[in-house]
Amino acid sequence: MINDLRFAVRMLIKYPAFSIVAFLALVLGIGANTTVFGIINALVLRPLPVGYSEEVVKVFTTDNHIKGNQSTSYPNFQDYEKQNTAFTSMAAYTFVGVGMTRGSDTLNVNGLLVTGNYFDLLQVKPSLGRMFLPEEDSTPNGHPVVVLGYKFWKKLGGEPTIVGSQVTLNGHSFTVIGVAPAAFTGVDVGLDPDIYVPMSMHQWIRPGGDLWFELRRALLLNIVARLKPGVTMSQAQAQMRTIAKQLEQAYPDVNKERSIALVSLEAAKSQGLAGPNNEDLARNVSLLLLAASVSILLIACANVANLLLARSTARQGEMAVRLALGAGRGRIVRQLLTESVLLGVLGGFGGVILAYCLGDVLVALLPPTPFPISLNPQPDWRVLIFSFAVAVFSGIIFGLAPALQMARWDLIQGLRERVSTGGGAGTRLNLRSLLVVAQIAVSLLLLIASGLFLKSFYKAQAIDPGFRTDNLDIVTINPVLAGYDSDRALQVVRAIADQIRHDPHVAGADVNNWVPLFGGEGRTIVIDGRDPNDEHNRKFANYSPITPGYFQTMGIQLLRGRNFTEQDAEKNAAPVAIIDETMASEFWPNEDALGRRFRFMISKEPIEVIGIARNSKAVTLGETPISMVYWPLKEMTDQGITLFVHTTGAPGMMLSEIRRIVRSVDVHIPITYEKTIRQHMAIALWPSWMGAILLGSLGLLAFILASMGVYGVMAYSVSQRTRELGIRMALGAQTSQVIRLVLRQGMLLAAIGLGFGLFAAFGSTHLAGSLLYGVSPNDPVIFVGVTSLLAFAAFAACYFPARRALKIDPITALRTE
Amino acid sequence: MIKLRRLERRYPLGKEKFFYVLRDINLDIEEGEFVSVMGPSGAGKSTLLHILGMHDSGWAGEYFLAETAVHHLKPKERATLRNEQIGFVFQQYHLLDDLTVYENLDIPLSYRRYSKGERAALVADMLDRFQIVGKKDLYPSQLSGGQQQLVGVARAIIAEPKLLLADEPTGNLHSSQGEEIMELFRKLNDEGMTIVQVTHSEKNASYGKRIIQLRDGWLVRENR
Repeated sequence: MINDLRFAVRMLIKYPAFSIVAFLALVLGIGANTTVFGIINALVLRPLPVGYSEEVVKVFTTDNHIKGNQSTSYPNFQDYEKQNTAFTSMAAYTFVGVGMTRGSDTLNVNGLLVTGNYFDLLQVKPSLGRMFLPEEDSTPNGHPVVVLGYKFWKKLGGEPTIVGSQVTLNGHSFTVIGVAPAAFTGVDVGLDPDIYVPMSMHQWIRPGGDLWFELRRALLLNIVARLKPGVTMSQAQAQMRTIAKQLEQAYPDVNKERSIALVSLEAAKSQGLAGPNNEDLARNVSLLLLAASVSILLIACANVANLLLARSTARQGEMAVRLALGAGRGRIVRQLLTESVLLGVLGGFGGVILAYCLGDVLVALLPPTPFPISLNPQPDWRVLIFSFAVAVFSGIIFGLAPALQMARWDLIQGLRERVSTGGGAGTRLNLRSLLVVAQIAVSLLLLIASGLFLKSFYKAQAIDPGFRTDNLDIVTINPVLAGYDSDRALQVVRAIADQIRHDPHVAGADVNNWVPLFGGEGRTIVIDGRDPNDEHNRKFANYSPITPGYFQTMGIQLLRGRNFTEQDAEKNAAPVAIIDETMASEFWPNEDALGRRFRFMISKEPIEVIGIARNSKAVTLGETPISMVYWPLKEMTDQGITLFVHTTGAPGMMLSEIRRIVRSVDVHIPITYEKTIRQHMAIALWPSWMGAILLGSLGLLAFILASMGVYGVMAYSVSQRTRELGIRMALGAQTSQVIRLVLRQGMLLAAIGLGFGLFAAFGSTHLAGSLLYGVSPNDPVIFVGVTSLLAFAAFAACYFPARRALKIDPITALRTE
Repeated sequence: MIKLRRLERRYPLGKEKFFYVLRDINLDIEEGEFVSVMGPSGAGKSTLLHILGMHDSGWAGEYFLAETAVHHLKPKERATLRNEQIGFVFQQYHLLDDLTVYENLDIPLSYRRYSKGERAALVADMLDRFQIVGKKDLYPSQLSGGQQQLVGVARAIIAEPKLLLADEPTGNLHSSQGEEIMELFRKLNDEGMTIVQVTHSEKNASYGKRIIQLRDGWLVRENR
């Protein structure tokens, strides 16, 4: 085996052109796969750094009226924790924006409010200091302590002396008691909290958010629980559902048709990344990327196999001698596979290095979302093992057919051909042709998928979100984090909006708690006067508290009725709301919604519908419309509020002026988000842009590799037909006839490949249908366009070898025999 | 050592038409004999040699090698028998270009059941015997034709075969190099090795103890 390996190295050195081309093809193929596997590893496979994570589950609330798994209210969590016997313990956490004051500036940091047993339950040990003690989560506002995330600690300087020091959060002094381990970033992949604070401190961390902790209807907390030894997940789920049923009976007004779903921690870890109702997105995207990258690898393998088959002609004699000296066919195959696997492994090394570089590029492509996405697609040992396996597997794949073919050759013929030149290419060309057909077919499939995603991205850009898409700034501030109570915070926000309105470059400035294409709060609505137990009368709606000029500032058309006035926002004013078209048609399908009344499920107060607004996109561009209730802004929550500023000029310039105005009012008010509408839309478009970029790159790679494959086969074919073409020319064949002869051979292969590719594309593109915006999976423009493009590339790849055939000197060609 | 009965080799030409390369060959070669096969081009000399060397399996008739009925053996069994009994010398030497002299000698051993130590000892012994120790790290392209064929013969006998087959072993050599190789063959034969060579040269044929004449696939004459 060592001899085989030594010889393999020598062969790679002996044929440097072959080795370099094959190496590059494999680097691209294996690099693409390693990169994609790195993403899948980061999203789905890499286990959380949690002790015995297979024992830990996430506990979700289900609601018959809200799609997908939901968070759980604090009171319900407390009841579940007390009544269950299935878990050793249950812990809860919720994401929160916190203002950290350092010097004269207030930073917005991403925090996690956690129950005191959070780290104990997850069996996570600190890298510095200690984690929370049980008593530190027992007294409201009693223990202002904080644990820092590892990356955040590094950002603050990474000094070990930070343990025991004080930091100011929302104007209150907290003691740093520890630093989380480097690998731990919570239990939701992609989200990396800066700080962890005990839930008992929520009044300081979420001032004004008390109601959220009191309402049994408010879906606030994420819950993790560790199963007792011997208890299965289904047994635990059955018990939890029994408790949920009891809670539904005990609190029918708020727990109606709500139950519990358990999902293993590992399965749930990447479900939150794409938001509610997109639980399967990470898995679907992973599968799509994996399919594309495997296709690339197969195309690269076909290219290398073709190169090996071409080289095999030169080695026919060598193999014949080896056979004559007593080598068995198996031994010949082993020798050749050693060479191809060595090549594969070298390509694997290159691929891993490429993946390291691409990993950095991918991280750089992540958008600056309000809660920053933290993903580490860099290869780890799991990815390295995968890459090594792929490299060896590739070596076997592209080496097997040439090896078997060489081992099958006739020994005597081989010994003769070692002396003569050329010949014996007929059968090899058949296998090479098959490989080219397969390459073209796979490339076409991949290119069509890329084309669909690119068109989808283009279409997504063109989707009308229902609001202004230029000359608009979006700035989120949070006065509550600077120590303001709700009323004062509201005054400050109004004062800031007024100052902004006075700027000559501003056409309108208004506020909303809901940020379009990002999210906000949702509420259950009950139609007044109808039976609340009938599910038709009780639906979920998004909730937008706004100032009166919001529709004008955002360019959202008020279809009917009247707008809000300043008086509507007064505390004693009669409750009124404006609803969107979706809500009007869902709640009052055959009636006029104007003048109708409804109430929020958490309140008894009836609200009159005074206007109907045009639909606009609430969370994603491709969403199915969900009802929206606009409500006069009367109070501030701790979640911050967003200013929407319609500018008369370039909105980018105005952002700094808005920042200056906010700072002039109070330098401590954190600005948690500031973007022009274009930048904001880019974040919303990021998933489809990323899909288009990744699949587009893979498609381009497939295109290049397939073109190289066709060119290689045709160039080889022409070199093998030198004598035949020379005779034809000597007998009087015209230029066009020779070109036609070569083109016919190449284009026949291309046509067969395109036929198979189209067949495969028609049968499979519908699988990606759910990821496409406004494009049919069988879009005729893409199908025809991409097929034509690949056919043209194949034509070019055939044409140049054909041109070369014309340069054959008949006399020289005839002498080659 | 070798017994051939009604051996024939043919290739199909069309429907029920055949081109015969060898016809009804009946031949006995005793152990320790040195036989030269002669005849014009296309007589079937090399085909006969490849059949004896079990490189060709598409023949009909009976072939016994050291009392073993080769015609009854499966391909794998033939390969084993060949590796145990036969060494082959080619006109074009057929050394592997990318291997050194040492490695070329090692190749046949690597395809047989020899330990690493045994292989090293046998190669060293053969380098010494053929006085090519100083050339062990050279590649074939760095050797003269005679030296290459010397290595070719060394390689053929390194696994200690009982039968050495040589297909025009001096065909590409000038006369003095040819004589050197033929003397080597005579010496090997004197040491007890059975040799069958194909040659066009009367002079080289005379080194053998018996000459077989082939013509159009027929065995036409035997001279002792």
